[in-house]
Amino acid sequence: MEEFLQPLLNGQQWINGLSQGAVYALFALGFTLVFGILGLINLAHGANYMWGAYIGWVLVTSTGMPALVALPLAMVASGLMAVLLERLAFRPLRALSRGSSVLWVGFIILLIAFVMGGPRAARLAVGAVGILVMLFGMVLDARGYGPVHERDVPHLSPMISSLGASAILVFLAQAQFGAEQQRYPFGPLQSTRFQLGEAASISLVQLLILLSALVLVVGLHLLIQRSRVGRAIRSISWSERTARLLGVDVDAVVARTFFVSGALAGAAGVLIGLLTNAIRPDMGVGIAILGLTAIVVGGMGSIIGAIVGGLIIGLLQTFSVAFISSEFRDAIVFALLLLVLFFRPSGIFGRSSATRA
Amino acid sequence: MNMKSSVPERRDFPADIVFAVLVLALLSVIALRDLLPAAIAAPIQSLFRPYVSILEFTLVNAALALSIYLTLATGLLSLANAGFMALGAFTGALLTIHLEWPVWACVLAALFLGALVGALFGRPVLRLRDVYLAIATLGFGEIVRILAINGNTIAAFFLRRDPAEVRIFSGAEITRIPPPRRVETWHLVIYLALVIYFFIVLRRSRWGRTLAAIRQDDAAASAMGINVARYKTFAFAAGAAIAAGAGVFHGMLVRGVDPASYGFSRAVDILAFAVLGGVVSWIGPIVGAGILTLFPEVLRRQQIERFLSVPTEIFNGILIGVILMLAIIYLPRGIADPLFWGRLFNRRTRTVARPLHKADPADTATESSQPSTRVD
Repeated sequence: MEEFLQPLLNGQQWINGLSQGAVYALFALGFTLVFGILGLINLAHGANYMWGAYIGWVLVTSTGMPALVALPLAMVASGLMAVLLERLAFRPLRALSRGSSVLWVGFIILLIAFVMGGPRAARLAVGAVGILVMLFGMVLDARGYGPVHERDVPHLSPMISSLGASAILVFLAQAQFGAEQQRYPFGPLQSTRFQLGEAASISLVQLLILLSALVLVVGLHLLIQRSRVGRAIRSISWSERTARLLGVDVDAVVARTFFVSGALAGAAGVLIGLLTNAIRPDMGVGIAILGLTAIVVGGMGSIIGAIVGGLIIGLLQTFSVAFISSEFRDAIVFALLLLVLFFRPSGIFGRSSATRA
Repeated sequence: MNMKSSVPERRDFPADIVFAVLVLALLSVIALRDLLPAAIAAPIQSLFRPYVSILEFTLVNAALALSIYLTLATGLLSLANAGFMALGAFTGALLTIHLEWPVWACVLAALFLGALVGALFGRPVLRLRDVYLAIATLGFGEIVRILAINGNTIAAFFLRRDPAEVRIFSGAEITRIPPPRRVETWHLVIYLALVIYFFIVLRRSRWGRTLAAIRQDDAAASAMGINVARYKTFAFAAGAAIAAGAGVFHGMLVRGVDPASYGFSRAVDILAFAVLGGVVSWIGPIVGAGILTLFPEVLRRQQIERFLSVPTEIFNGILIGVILMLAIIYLPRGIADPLFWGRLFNRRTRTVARPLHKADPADTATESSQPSTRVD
């Protein structure tokens, strides 16, 4: 018996599991924020995370900047990507405006520029036109041009359109970076280790992950609980209609929520890239399932639940590798998902509404 | 609310049946070309030969689109159908290779297995709000893949044999189905016809009306004494069975089952078929599958790659993603919706297009803040 429980006493496993779980927690926070405010799952969140990882990779490898500088830059970039995603995939389903349609035309021109052959200059020119048209669409929206059709779409529609967005993003990454796996440079972040006690050590990157997760979580908590935007987010998650009646600019708040959610996904992407040294275009699907499991376990829409859920998943994965085998670690997480759905669908923190975003 | 559209429309003209007969008649001519007298068959043969393969894939995709239609039309988003397709493909391949079962026996086995796994898997999940179904099904294809790759280890465990001896699965390799060609076009036509027949019968049956009621408002349906979870499980399991059956044919058509080819992007493809065509009736998914299978093929025959800087598969993937998004934004009832064409050609009879499984935004907002709402 004692021998069987040996892995549980191994501090190294706990450190590995917690740092893995901290990344999942960051990822799951983005899910839960959007779920809290819109009541739907953004299935493109995994693609956003993957792009965050690739943006960080490009910054680190091509400009040679340190990972600590690349991390916030990649967060901002993937946050902006999430905002664009919201404009393309979610907002037209809440209310269809002329601006959204123009934005879509511009996006299609941009995609054509990306896939078309021909000289580089021509592609750049078409791409520039696409971006200009997209900007024009955003200006139209900002100035409230034309009729806006409030819509009442089936509630599955946003999930389906985010799935389409996810497919587009994954294929774009495949075209740009190749389908095979890319490596983050191995550096002092990975090789520097601090000894903790006799049997355990923590690498600098694990320390970085735990610290940045802590900073981001505290920052998010302050943002939600103390700031004006946070108050608006909480009011919308309580009742969108009431918030709108009370003068909350719902579209602007949703855009900011998506920015924060995308930035968290980007942070998770860069950190997992640093931790595992390997990124692939399809890495978003796997973590999407893990992240969803994390928020179901923790309780959908709950911030503390996402953090606890993410840590539980990270530890469960690490220990299932230690106890059973690495081949079944995703299957075990999935079994946990089904068990929680069956026996406690509200999750650990699902009941108390005070913790909800 | 929205009581009006919850009553099935009375129609004087059975458009769906006429459509079915026409399509099937055309398909039978192509499919039965082998059985016709040589004098008639020869010209048909030469006319259609270049298109037979693409026609066969269209038929399989149409069946797949119909498999997701039933769940979508009940207001559920299931992303597991690619996984069930893989389940069927493996069942078919293994039964053919190891036991030499004929095709129809494989299909029956796959239908049964699909329904069984679908019911077992759907039952716990479907008691909850439907957003959980999308979550739980997202991982299903991944699970099938893991189980198939580690199939030998699992089989060895149950057979109490040494894992090194068990050679049932091919692991991560493609499970090759040796020649001869086992699936003919007419097999696929018959399978699709049976699936369509199932939908026609279902639509006019008590079960079909119950599913329509659940789609409209599952809380109201539950209040009327309907066991919502049971009917949702039925829809989910039936869709799973149809997908598994189609998977058998798909595996045989490509003569090998690759565990990696039934992943996320296949799930998106299947969803795109149904969404582009629309889930107003069963015609939509077939139209959607037809368009999305034929369109890339037309592009390929026009040698689209001359104009591209990316590989054709990537172009197709991006295209399907864009079509999926545009369809859900601009054609919420799908391209096969009579109202859409009516509005396009006759602007005077402009009718408000009601989305199918609608939800009041206010209701969604409040409901979603109680994630644990059980529907039964």
